[in-house]
Amino acid sequence: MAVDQMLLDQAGASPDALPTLRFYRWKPATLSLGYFQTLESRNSHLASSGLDVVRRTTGGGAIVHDRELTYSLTLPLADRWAAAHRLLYDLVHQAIIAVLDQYGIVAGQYVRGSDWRDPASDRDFLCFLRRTQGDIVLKGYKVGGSAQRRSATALLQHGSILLGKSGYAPELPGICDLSIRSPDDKSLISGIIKELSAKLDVEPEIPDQTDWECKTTRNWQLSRFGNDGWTGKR
Amino acid sequence: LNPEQLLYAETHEWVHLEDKGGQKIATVGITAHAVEQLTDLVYMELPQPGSSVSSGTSFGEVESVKATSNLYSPVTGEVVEVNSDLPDNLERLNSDPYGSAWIMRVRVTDEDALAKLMNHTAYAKQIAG
Repeated sequence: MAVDQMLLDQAGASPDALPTLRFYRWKPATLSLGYFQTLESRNSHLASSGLDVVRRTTGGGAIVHDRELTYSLTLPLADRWAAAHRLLYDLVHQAIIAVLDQYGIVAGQYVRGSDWRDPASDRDFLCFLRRTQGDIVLKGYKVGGSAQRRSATALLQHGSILLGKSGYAPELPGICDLSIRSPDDKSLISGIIKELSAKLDVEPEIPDQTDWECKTTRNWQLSRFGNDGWTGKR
Repeated sequence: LNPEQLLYAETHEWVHLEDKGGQKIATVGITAHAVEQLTDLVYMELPQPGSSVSSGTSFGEVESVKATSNLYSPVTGEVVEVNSDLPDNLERLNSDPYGSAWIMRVRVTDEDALAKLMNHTAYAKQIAG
């Protein structure tokens, strides 16, 4: 989370900053709360009660980061209100769906009103029990979702891909539970990078980490994501 | 309020200025254009009355179904009143963005910062461009 915040700072420092796409997994398994969720709300979900908790800067429901792949995408922003930023969800989600398709996994994007779900379920504690337009669904289950944080000059899009069912959220099947074969992390990540690079017509590069990046990440860790005041702010 | 008589920040907040007992009071909201772009608002966090706000810095946050955004103050001063009913009635931002969906009232302490604000014509040009 602190690295993503640093990347948001970096993207916002110059309108010419390059977009950064980052993938990561969590060790130990951790519960992340959506920005506006209360710390107390985690009491409603017993299975994840033993996990460490962190508060994201992006909104939405809580995520159990266990058998799950997280991504962040950061880029400079000319106009944070522009509707076009919503296309970023579709761009990334369609890239993920295309990679899954290569493994014979037919996922799609959720269309609001296309199923029986009660609109009130949009307030469920867990992100993967909620549905919003464009989420990645497989056999009726949500297996991918994203949310954005927009600052004055940059955008952070956080996303989560549910790889498999976790013992800390047994009500949520993941991709490998819903399909005969599924890609490993490495294949999934390289496939998404390839799909996105082709869609955006860009050549990806892996940058070296700078001292500024390390220092800024550490500062965010101390002041925010590793800080009980931030976690318990609601 | 008549949108044509308001002032606007580049970051899509509107300002209505009035003199009250020799003090300049700014009523602040977000524009219809911003509300339209945000869509499906679900949460809004307001500043505390008595707190200070500065032109160009964050004074609150708003969450739509898919994006969380900071709200940036178009003026510098002290928050004297907030529209505390608004977070529970976010539909007002769609139905009456320049009226009952005002967000805060600020006693302006730095009038120089007001010079950066645009009139309606300039703002309309910005969102058209």
